Amino acid sequence: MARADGLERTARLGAALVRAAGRWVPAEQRDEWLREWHAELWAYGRRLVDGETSPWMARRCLLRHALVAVADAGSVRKLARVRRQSRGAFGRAGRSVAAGDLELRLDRIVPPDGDSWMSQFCQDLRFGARGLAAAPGPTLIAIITLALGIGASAVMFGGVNGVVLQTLPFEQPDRLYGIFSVAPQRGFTEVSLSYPDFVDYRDGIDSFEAMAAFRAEGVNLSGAQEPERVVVVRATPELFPVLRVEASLGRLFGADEEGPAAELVAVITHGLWQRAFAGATDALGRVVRLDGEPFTVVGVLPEHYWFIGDADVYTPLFASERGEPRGARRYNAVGRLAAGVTAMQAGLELDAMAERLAAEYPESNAVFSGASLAPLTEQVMSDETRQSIWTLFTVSLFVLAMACVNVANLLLAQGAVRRREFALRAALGAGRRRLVVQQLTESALLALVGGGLGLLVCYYGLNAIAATIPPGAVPMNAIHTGPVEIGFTVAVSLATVMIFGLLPALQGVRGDLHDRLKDNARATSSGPRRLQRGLVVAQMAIASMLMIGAGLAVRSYLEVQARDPGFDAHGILTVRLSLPQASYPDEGSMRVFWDDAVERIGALPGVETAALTSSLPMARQRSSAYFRREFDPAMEASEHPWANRVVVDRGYFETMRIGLLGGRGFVASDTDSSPPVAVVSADLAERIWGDEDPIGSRLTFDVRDDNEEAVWYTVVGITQAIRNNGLHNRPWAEIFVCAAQNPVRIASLVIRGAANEPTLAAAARQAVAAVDPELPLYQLRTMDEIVAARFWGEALTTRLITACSAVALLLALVGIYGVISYTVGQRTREIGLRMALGAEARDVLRMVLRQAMRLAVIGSAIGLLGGFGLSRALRFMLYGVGANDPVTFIGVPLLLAVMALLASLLPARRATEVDPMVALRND
Amino acid sequence: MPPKIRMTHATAMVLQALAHGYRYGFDIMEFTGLPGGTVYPILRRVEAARLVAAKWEAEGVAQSAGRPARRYYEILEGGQRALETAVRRYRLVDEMGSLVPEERRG
Repeated sequence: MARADGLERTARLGAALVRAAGRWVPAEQRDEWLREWHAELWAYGRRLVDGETSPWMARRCLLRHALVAVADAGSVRKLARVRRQSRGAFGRAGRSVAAGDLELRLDRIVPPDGDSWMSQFCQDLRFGARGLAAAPGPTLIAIITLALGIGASAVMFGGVNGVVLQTLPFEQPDRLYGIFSVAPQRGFTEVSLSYPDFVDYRDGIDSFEAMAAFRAEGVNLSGAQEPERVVVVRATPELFPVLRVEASLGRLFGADEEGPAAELVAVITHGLWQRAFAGATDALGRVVRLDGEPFTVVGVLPEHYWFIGDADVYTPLFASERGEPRGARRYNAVGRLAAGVTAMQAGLELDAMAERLAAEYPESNAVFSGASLAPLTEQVMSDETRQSIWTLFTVSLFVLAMACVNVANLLLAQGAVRRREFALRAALGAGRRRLVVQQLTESALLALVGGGLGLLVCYYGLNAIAATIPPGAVPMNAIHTGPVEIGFTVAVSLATVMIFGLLPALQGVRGDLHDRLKDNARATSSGPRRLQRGLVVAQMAIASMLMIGAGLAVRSYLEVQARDPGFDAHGILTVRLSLPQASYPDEGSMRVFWDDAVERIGALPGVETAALTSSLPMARQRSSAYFRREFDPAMEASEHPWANRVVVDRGYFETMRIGLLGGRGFVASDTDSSPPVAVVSADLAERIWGDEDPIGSRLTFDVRDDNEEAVWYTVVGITQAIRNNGLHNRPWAEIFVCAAQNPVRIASLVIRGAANEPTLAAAARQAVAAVDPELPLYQLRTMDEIVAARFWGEALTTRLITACSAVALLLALVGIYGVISYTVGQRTREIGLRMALGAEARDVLRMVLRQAMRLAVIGSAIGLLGGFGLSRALRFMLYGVGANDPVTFIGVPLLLAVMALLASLLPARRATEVDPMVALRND
Repeated sequence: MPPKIRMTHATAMVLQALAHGYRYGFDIMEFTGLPGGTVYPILRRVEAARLVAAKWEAEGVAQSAGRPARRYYEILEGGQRALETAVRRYRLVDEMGSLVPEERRG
């Protein structure tokens, strides 16, 4: 290798000598002469490499041979001058060749097996590292750029992999389908089944290998450690066989589970087992109480089991439930397709069965004449979550593309500087392939370092994101830096090498290397410059597109945050309680408990006020009820207006600081013996009563016309509008009724206090325990948390897309800065000349900036088009701002233009400082 | 009228090399052991004197051998005659034929 290196250098000198000598040769003979010497030097060089000449000697010989060429040129010239008539000596034979055809390729001289690819690779690495270290500034920028680009895409991929691509932890999860009833005329899809319907589907349909029904409900669990609130799934014995799940400890209940005694067994999840039994094997056989009823734990599910929501306990359906009427549609069904059956076939068979049942049992099934099935894998996540994650992933790929473009641009600029170097190396025998490999090695080094840092970005980014996700918001939250993420990062890093490394590498060896050797570095062809400008335009386009996306998201986010929720969430702790039937059998006992608990908590030090509500705003707790005003005609139930019926006590409005627009709230004199009263929300009042004053009118939740016993509520007050369905959504219309007149079993306590959250929580726990030590407190959350959780997806998406677009902007600015400095450097001579001819610094500045602006404007224009596309993809998360929001669509290009102007100002100023004399002399 | 040249010893050696099928500058240098500074000017002169003619190696042949095309020289009739005259003067030049390695003969 050293030999070839030394020879290369000598050959470089030799080639220069030969070329210089060529000028002596009469023009008409020059081409042939150069060609001949090309071949002669080649032959000599080959012999030197093949032979046993010492390296030093070989170089001397080669140089001497080149000097021979110089002498030869002299003799040719003399011959030509002396004997003009023999000018044909060179002219007759051979083809005419271009002046630049002389290519000395010593690489072909070096025998191909002279060096192993390994040593070549090591040399490339060494060269690469040296090359990168030689230009620390651009190298650092390239590495940071890559780290950001690769990191961003790895983070988003982590989201995709951890959430979207997570498959259910079952064997062949894609064969599992949820089964639903459909009411075609009503437009209801995905309606739950009744137990008898399920039995008919299960027994009458062959498309499914097996089918199970289940329903989930919240219960109080006691008998383990702390009493707690859990979700229990009551399922038919087929459930676990359908899912093909095995117990990790003990057994699961199966088809043989019969008889009343067998009903009282429970299977618990790994999580509950750890939490309530500390993972002890003697948990098997223990008795836990679910809402007071004893169940024997018989098995524990595997650790990575996940089925629906946060269910912790599984029990068989009670026999009593199996006798339910056909109209009680409260079961979800899941089935596993039989081998060889498609979802389409199964759907047709289900439909046929639904139709048959509709004909057979018109009373309960007439409207549900259809059935549908949906892949279980799709049931676990809302389309919005899926879409926002994919959108973010796409956005991050754009950032990655920009990073690649940036690095490609940097390499191109450097490549241009190094064109002479490459031309020389080529002249000295490095083949094109070799040069490309060399440059690719350099890019690979960059990608390696960039990718390593990108992995760090990924690790911290994913941790940060995982921390912001409220528990339970994302099914099977598996967001972490796992092997798949690392693999992705590595793959992306390698791919970027191909993307950004190959382009400049090919550009670097494109065209006639010899031309470049001959010409000076200043006279580069316009090819790479055009490519560079194209890349900058692409960057500007991507940046402006992403900034438009981010602009829209931010505007929407700010708009939503500025909305008045209708209550004051700050300083409120909430906790949920559920009174079991066993200890609180009647309304009186429940009323006593709530009064006692609220009073005790309200009296705690640090607590201002406390109150009770059946559903918290923004917590997705809704109990919708149809209602009818007095004197309104009775209709089909579903044609009546509905509202969220909320039971609150008299301290609620004060505690939540919900303002009253008219009338009064609930007072102590509203008791179960006084006339029932209600308070309506402002939007309900407006929608139902219009300009009339609702106060004093009466309404009932019993919409039947003929019911003499209907309870009529008198409207006594109107609250301000309350954003109970999240700041971003249209609120549900609400009717508040008084807890004293409508006892509730499950309710939240809202506690407003100056003390911090843990203190309040501990105090509340004690106060409740003083009334009923068996009662678990659950869902301890501050109201602020609830509000934030309701909007976390949009908030996170906004934050991420903003981060991405900020990176994109930065990269675009680096890009335009780079290309402008490069052009300024290239045009030093031209600028010097202009200034020598009288151009003012201002003119030069304008000239350079005009070029920058042209790139920025073209890029932004293209980006605008992309922005329209992106805004459509984001539309689902835009509130209070149109997808074509003019502020964003005008503001972003303007901002980008200004930023581009600033970024190019620096190199432009440098251009004005060119000393004409120096610039011209340098040449 | 082609220019006359002096038939030096070196010139005779170059012609003899050409006659034995050494056809380009470096090859001749190697065979004769003459320095390049001697060989090339002689080639120029004998070419100008029409003792030899130059011809480019076929591009395809050169390419398949992985090298640039060579400029091959070929001894002409005049050259052959001049060589015969010279050999009589320089005996040793005649001996050169025996130095041609086996594989290059014929």
